[in-house]
Amino acid sequence: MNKRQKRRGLSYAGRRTVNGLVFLSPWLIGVTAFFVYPFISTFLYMFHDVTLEPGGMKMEFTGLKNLQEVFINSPTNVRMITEALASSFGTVILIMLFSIFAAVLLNQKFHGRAVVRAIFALPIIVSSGILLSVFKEDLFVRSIQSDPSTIFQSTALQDMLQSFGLDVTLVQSISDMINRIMDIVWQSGVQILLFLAALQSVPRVLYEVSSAEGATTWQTFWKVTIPLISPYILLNGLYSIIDSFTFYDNPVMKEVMNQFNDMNYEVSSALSMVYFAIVLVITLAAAGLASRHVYSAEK
Amino acid sequence: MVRRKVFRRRIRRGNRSAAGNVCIFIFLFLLGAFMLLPLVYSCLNAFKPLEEVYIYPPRFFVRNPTLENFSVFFKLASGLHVPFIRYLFNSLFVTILTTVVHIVLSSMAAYPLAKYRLRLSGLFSLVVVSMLFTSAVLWLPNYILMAKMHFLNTYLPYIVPNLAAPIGLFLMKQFMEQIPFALVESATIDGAGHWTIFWRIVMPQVKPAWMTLAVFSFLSVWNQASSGFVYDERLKLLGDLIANINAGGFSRLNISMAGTLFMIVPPILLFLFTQNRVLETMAYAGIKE
Repeated sequence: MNKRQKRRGLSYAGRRTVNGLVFLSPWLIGVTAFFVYPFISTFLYMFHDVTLEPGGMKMEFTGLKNLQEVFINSPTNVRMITEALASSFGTVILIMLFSIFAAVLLNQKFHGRAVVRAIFALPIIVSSGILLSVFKEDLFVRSIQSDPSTIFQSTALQDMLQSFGLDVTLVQSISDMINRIMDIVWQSGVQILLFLAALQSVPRVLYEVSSAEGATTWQTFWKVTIPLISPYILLNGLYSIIDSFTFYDNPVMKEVMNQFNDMNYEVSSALSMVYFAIVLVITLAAAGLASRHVYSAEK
Repeated sequence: MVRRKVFRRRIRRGNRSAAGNVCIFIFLFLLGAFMLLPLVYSCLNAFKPLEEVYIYPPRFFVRNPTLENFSVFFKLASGLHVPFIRYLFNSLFVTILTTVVHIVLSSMAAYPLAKYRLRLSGLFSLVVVSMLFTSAVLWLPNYILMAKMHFLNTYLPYIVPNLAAPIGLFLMKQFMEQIPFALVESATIDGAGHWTIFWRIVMPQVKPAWMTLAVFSFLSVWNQASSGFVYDERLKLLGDLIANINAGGFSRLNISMAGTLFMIVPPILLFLFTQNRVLETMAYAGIKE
């Protein structure tokens, strides 16, 4: 360490870290109070018998009893988790493909683009909180959302395809896919918006250059657009994984909330902790695998 | 691929074939219909008399439009001992304050992570984990914490937990990482301090990101209900009022739809506003090296 550094007290890297922490600290305090602390509490509930009493909460240490209760004594839970994981995987991939396609279309210039974009953002506005409960009570909307066959006449389609002599399982999977379109479309609002913001952050200069070099639109899309928005593809992928695994309609989440509402706090926390641990592993694995192929401006 | 480039359009109009245009139009139209129809139907319900709501098979359009649902809605609202305008004020106040502070805090946190190469190992997993845990799962410990801090029955439970929502940091960090480091360096050489760089260089560059974040944040706060943290009726939100009216169930479906329209309009307005702004920024201030 030379003299100048000693006089200032901190090395250059040290000062940077301090400055960084100054910027970071308000957020860090908030996260510690409203996430880390509740998280640790929930983690502890898993090993305790929790009862609410007037004047406070009583926790009695029970060891691994709750975990045993959830995963060994009730065999349906394990199957429920694996099924939820499998179905969410498919949904994530379809959502990604659909949202990137929709964003590319919406990013083009045409008349009434603002209105069309607003329409595509509507699911975000509607599919959260109180509005959802209103819409769920609505007969017509409910009939569309939980059983899309009412508007697609999917049963009629099935009969028709089967009368052509197609295999029953094939027909079933086709109509399943059609029925899922509604879910996919309604769950990809956030992703479309993120991709739109990403597409707009691609410097126009690059398109000019690639056009001057004689690249076709197809080549430009794969060689310029996709690499430049790849960080946001990763971002969106992680968001989609998390979102679809913790979707209110997910059977595991439903069970967690049911147990919570029945005041079985320890069972609810044990189930959610294990489930979230699995999802976290999947998310981090996906992030680790994808981050190698992601473009970064700093490299 | 149909992706069209803006600059080429300026030089040569009609670069894409008419057939391509028609295809895009049809595709967007179909998808838009998917998204729009349920909502339009529900909104139309707000103008239907009750007997028309429950006709089977359901009818899409209104036969006898009526504004009665709105007047009943206001009658119901005025019957409560807190005026409707108070709920509206509470919601707007809480939502706008939270959204603004949330954007500032998460951008501040994202800035050193993205541009200082401040590698705090484990922070990213922390962010992901906290995104997993929805507020409903952490409700009980949160309640105990807020009771200890005397937050209960104030505006604070609506505001404070949302300020550090992890999605903001997640989003801002990703966008800030794409700003060329040269911009920050040259500002440093010109003698700019950390605050100046943050406010004058970085934040304008990521305007699309925080405009988008504003929409997300506004929505999640706007749609929340008091959920047990607040029991003084004067401090409750518009969402609570709507939920109360919804508790009337099927017999009040059309009336609660009328109330729900008040919930839907502000987010849509905000969305239209921010999206136009985003386009404006990107047209004039591209990242140039």
